[in-house]
Amino acid sequence: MDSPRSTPKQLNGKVAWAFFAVFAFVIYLLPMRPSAALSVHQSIVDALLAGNNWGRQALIGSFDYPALPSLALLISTILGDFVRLDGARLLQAIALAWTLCYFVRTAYYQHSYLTALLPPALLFALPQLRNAALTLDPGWIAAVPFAAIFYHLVCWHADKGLRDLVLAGVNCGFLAFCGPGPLIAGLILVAVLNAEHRRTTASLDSNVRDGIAPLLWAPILYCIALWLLWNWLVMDDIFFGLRDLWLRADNVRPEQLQQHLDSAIPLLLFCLAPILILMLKSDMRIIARCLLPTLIILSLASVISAALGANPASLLPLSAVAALSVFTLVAIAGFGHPVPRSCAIIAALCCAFYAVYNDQALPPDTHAAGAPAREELLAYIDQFWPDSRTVLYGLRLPALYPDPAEKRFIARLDYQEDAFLDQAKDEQLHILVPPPDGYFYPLAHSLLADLHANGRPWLFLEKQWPGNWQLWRCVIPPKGESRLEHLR
Amino acid sequence: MPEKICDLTTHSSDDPFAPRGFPQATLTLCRWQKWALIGAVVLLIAWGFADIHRELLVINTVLTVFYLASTLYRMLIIDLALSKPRDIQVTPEEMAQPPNGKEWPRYMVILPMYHEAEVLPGLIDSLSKLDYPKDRVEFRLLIEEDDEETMPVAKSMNLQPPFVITPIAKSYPRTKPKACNVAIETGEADYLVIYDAEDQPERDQLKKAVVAFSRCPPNVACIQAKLAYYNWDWNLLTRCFTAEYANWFGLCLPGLDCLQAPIPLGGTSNHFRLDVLRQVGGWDEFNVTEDCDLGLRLFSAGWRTRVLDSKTWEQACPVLRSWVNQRSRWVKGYIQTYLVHMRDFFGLHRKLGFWNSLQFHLLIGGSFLSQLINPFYWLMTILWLFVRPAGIDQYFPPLVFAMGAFCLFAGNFIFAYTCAIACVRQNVGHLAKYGLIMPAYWLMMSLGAWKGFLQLFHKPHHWEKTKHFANTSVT
Repeated sequence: MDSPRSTPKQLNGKVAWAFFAVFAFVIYLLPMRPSAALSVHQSIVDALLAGNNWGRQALIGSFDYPALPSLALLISTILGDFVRLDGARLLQAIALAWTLCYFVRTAYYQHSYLTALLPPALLFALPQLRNAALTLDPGWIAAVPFAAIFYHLVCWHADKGLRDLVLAGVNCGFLAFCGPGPLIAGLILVAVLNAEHRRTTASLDSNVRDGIAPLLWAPILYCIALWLLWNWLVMDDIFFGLRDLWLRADNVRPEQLQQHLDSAIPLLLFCLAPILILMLKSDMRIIARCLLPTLIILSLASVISAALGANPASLLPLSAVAALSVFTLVAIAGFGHPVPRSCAIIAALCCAFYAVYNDQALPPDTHAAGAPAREELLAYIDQFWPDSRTVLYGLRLPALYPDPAEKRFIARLDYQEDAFLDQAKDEQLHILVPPPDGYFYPLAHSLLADLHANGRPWLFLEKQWPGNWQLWRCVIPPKGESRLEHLR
Repeated sequence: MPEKICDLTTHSSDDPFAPRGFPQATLTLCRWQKWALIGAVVLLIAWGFADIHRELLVINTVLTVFYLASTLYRMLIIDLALSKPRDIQVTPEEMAQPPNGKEWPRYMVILPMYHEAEVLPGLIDSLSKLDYPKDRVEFRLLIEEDDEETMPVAKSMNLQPPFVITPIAKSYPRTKPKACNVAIETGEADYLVIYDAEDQPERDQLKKAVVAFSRCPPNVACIQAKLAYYNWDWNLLTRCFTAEYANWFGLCLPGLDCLQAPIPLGGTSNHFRLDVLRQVGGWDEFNVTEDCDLGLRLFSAGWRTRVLDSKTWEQACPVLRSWVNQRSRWVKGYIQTYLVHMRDFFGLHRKLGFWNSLQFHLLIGGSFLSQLINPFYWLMTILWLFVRPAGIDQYFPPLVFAMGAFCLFAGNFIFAYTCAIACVRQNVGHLAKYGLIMPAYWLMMSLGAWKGFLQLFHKPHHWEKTKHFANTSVT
């Protein structure tokens, strides 16, 4: 027999305790290692705090370093300064604690109190999930809306309350600011949820059914429209944020895609097995139907993002939360018969065992290894052109040489030749161009790739490092500094 | 002539601000308010001459904080309405017999009307269908003596009890609350409800209200039923108006009920304990939103208002000119109410406490202020988006920019989205998409607000009568 349902007050108390326990554990005890994305987001935050224009551009002009993690990191950095905590760590602690609290609430909602312990246990028992949790990444903020969606889906499934449906839709909207993978997952979730709502209310009066579709679609479509509007406002190009990925997609080799797909498919299949059983035989089939395409989309998005050389924005945390949702669902679902229940548990255990067996640490990011050190670069430039500033284009490159005050490095998100030439009339400029390996900029049709290959008539290649890094000097003399000026 | 039980029409005091013993909107501003207003204007002009940039920056910061507070407050009440609905639900079983087990209490239904001949037959028809013992209810049709349009039609209908024609003698001010006060000076009843001429209350609303009163603690003096529009499909204006009403009565009032906040009453379908209503002096006949004022007066006097889950179907104003007039009266009345209650500045805040005072300012003050300043911010937004004038940045330092951006991008969406949610919740989900286009509707609201604000200076007590149409006359 079910134990009596916790009253909201008691539940809130327990959830608050859980939150603070996880928060303190993450803040003070968990050994973290920063992700490659963190340095980029941190650079964006530093630039924003310094009022640097590149910060504003980078905040909205990149799809794979999305706005929500940067904004969350900005807020946590400001808060962290007050409480003397590292902003990134504070953000991770809040995101992890908040996410786990949603699972605790889900378990309590279903009177399955022991299930509340399952997500934290799995998070540290399974190597993939542990790696994700121990990676300091602002992308973890995306886990919060995703966990919220799962919680509200479970509540909606039980009570059919409008509030839960609306909040599921609103949280899907937040995913639009978390990168391309989460955005597509959000769109798919909304579509499935809408279809499920239509199916479950098909027999009801149209007064009860009408209006749900606009409610579900409005948040995510509005967020997409906002992002496009911001691109137009800041970058003067409504689709600017999409261009980088578009150009990268032009240059993906099938064998690259195949290679990433091969490594992702087995785990995905193992994860899909319990979902399929849930879909067919459990009382939670609606939620399983929502999770199934989401899980597939997240896996595919990870594969494609790896093949594109793009940042897997928030995909790791979202995949971790999706996996936790599957395990939690197996634990809380009712099957009506012991056989399908046993099958689902066995499938989940197989999935867990495969995850342990297939523990592959992510390869370290070596793309920046060949980059000239900041001091080396400045020392070289200062030999001949003291105080010359170096222009850095893109997102990842300025993050390697952070200089929010723009004393020696000028960061720009997009390459604008006219703006560069105008600037060159006022001061001596250099351009640092990374190697064309598809990491810092797309290989094909990219202006930087062209610059690396062909230079410009007004650029002089001053130095090329062994890693293929190039330092170009602008040969247009600043006003009043040309020795030939008097001959004109 | 029936005997007067109380006197709600004679001015018993020489105080022009409280002729009937409580603050009334006879005059718009009291002495200190006049001086404060003059002082503020002088200060703003002087400051403008001294340092216009800093002045604009401060004004912008204050208004942005106000917008942010309004947005967060709205989010709170909407979430409460959805998560902890507190509006009173009454089941058919509860209405099967009177709460006291003997007989249903006596009900007085008052129906103020002026130039409503067209809708009178429909009104009589809908009231006749009310499910309440006819010997326990009295329907009073309050018709102005000189209303040569309605009075003959009413007389020609040869109405029998429980319908009673109550002629209202011609006297100043010629407002609906004055007529209501005249009506409740006489007659015995336990409860009273006010309906408008075009109202179609749910058949069991009176019984529901009686059961609701019996379930509430004794300090509940008023129960507000929800208002909805039956003519939502007439045109775009009625669709948006329906979405707005769904939001106000379906989410905002239940949210305020959850917070146990002062509730500004809607113009009709307010069920009162008649003795309490008489005790607090009835309606302020000088206030053009007497309902809002009465809700606040009841709250200040320690009485509470609850929301009942029963609908009264009204007619949404389908003509833009009439709609703007109606809106102008509402805004003018809200300003009057705000100023009247603010006369005793310290007393009000002491009586209400911090949280309720804050809600009073956000709900009553914030409501008209936002409608008045919205056009300027929309204009500024459009300029910022399309013209990008130099120098506008200096009025938006980072923190103000962050708050302003939140209000612009998130706040406006939240306000529109909650209208859509309300439509679904009130079973008019097909109007949810109109909820999402509310920003265009807000601009028209601002038009009405400015008209009302300007009218406050030259015609403060002028009652912009809302014209009602017979069902066929507009379609």
